Amino acid sequence: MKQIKKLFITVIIVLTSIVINGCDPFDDIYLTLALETEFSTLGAGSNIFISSGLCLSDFDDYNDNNENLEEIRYVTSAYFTISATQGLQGQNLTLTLYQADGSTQLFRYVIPTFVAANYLNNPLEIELTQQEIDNMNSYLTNPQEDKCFVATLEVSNVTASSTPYNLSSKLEFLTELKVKP
Amino acid sequence: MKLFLSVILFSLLLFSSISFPQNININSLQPIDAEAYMKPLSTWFGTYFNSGAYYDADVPEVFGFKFSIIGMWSVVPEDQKAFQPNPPNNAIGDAGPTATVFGNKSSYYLSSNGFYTYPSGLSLNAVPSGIFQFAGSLFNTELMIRFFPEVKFDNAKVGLLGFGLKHEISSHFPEIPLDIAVQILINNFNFEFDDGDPVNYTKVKSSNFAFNVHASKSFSAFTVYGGLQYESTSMDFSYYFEDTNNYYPATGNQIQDISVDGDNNFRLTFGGAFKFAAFVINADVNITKFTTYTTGLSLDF
Repeated sequence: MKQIKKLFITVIIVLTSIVINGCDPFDDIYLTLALETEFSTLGAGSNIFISSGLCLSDFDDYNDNNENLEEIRYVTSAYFTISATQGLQGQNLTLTLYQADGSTQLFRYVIPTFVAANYLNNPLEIELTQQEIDNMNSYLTNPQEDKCFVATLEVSNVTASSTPYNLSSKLEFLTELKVKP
Repeated sequence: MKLFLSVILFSLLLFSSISFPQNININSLQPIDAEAYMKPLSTWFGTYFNSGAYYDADVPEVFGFKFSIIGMWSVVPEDQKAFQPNPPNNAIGDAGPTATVFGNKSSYYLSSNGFYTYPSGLSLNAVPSGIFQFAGSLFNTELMIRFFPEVKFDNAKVGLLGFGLKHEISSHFPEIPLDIAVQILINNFNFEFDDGDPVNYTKVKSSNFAFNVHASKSFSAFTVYGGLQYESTSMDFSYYFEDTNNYYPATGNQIQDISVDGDNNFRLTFGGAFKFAAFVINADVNITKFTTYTTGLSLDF
């Protein structure tokens, strides 16, 4: 009987100890955050060049979890036309993302023919090379430190059915935040 | 965000002491996805309320009284952490499996307006919780009560009422070397949050039923026990479905009432109890959808 007593009490102590000390109820926490920046222009020239900036601290999800962030990882990105003058088109749509200094390139995506209306309800999915993904993730290390970006949109040989033409569009990229439980 | 945080805070924090990540928002989920997202919570409610109901099949013939405090540790299985969502027809490409209320990795899809990201979950591997209960017995029959009076604070109301009725059937068959009892359990939990803004409205009503047969054998102060239990649980859940892109004109931007059945069916329980005078400590393992370990401390006389 004494042995059963000892065994039972030992089991209780061990289980309690495991629960209190050994078992963490939390799994890693991941949040998905979409970062976006808008491009807007009104012009009549044959080339479009628009630059826009954004910072991680522009987004509530980043600010809310900043102190507990362990990692930010790039997931994917896309270009969207929000509105454009009818018939707006051109060549070599070039979307480039730079670090905050505006000169260190993170990625550059080019499509040879650009028809703005094609992306009104049908976003352009941007496929990056592994090197570009690594560039992004490398820049996003030390996630508690706010990171800023400069995004540019360029189009050459622009034509439209009327001038001045307008183009309103956005670049959105998705990131995954790993948060300390 | 307030919606889901308030559900979780009042339904889980009421009985446990864990903190949660921010940015959990169920409002953007269409009802079919909200049901899948919340299903593990419904299952957990059933697991929680149907645990810790016995540690001995012996029920006194003369008056008996028990007060028990029970701690539980429910392990969240991997298959309760993700579900396959149903993006709208105009989504571009597919969405992968996304987090349930207990999961941690949310999915996304690309739409004409931008990326839609599904809500994350609570990122829990296990749910620690506790409950207290009173029981009185007479004529080999025990009535157990779990009660948390409906209280209102700020804009929230929460209440719990549960009872169990148990009869020792072996008292009618003295030749049986074991104590054997049957027990039914009915537990209801209600929570409502209403601050006047329909976007934040939340209502949870969890209804839980269980029937078990359990047996015990005492060796002096030590008792071993085990049982087989059938159980079912359902949760009525009301929330505001916020359809900012107007993808679901028939159901969007209004309060939705959904019913979520838990995955609870059967459980096996094995455990042991040790009696020191009027005190009893017990521990058991419950093999069910959420494997649950319980320990209890009771005043039993």
